[in-house]
Amino acid sequence: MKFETMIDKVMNDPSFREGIRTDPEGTLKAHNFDAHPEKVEALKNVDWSSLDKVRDSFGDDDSIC
Amino acid sequence: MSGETLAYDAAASECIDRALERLSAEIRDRTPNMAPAVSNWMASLSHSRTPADYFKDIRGFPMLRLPRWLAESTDANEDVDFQDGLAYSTVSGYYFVRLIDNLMDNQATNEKAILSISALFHTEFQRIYQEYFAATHPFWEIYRREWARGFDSAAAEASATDIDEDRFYQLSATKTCAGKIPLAATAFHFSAEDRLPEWNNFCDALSAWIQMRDDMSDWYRDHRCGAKTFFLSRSNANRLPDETLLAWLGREGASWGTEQLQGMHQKVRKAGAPLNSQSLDRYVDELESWMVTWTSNFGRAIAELAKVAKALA
Repeated sequence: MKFETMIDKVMNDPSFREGIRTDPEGTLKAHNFDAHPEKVEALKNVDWSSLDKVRDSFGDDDSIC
Repeated sequence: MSGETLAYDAAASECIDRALERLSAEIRDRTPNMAPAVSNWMASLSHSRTPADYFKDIRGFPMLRLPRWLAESTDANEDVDFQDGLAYSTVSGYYFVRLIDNLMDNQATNEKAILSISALFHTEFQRIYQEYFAATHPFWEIYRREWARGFDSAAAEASATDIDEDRFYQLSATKTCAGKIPLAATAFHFSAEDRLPEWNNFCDALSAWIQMRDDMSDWYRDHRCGAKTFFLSRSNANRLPDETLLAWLGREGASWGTEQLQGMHQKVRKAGAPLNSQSLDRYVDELESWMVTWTSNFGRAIAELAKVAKALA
């Protein structure tokens, strides 16, 4: 998966994001990713709250200047 | 936008509210056919859809507060009519600039349909100053210079191919130079024009800090749309062969950006020190607190995103 596509999916596709958060193995398989146990375990250990705190920055938000 | 607002004192907050109410009324009265679309556009700039919140966001240049702080730092009595007029002028000027910027940056929603309202925004921006300064007053030279510099820098930024440190400081200082116009008006009005250079120095330092924070905050969007920034230029120069932008961020980019931001904040503090404004000092403190939390969150988020990227690779 291209770098941009991956970030887009993680940050801006709510169903994909929720899927890999709550059911990483099922979601990886459903989206034709390699669902190797090591990868599933890695996703289970992601601190999603850290991403949520700066999600504006990585999403489609605008800014003031 | 999460809409984090700084603690505003009641007088400043009410002044902003009055300015926006006045502008909304002016738009309704003068341009009733366009008013609904224009109001909707103004609301759309704020996460809460309340235009005043937009001007109180911690991430924005404090264009409405700087003149108040300068006025407070003089011995002159408060002049509410002047402050209200200045705030009204400034929000009008801001909407004028934002409308054009959005069109130039290809970020427009309904801006093209309401473009002609820019005439009203510009008139209201300039008209207030005409109430206070005669045509031959030195204020107008500053007005003409800073107003033109702002637009010229927008064009320069649009055509930039690479932004090194020198270029960054040149561009960031000019991006908010329109904010020096109400500052100059305040200085002249309160007979403090001799202090204007040091207030302008503070504006330049703060503009750099804000631009750096935007560069970091918007790294992904800027990367996607091909925008040239200091942050991404550094990434282009320092990424290892085959290293992704995200990997660079995790390896050195987030910490490099944080160091830059901290250094620029120190310059902000240093520039603010001689200004004799307790309100400004509190603002600089609040910015620092915000920066410490945000950069920490930013670094953690990059690390977590890298984990996700690795798992999905």
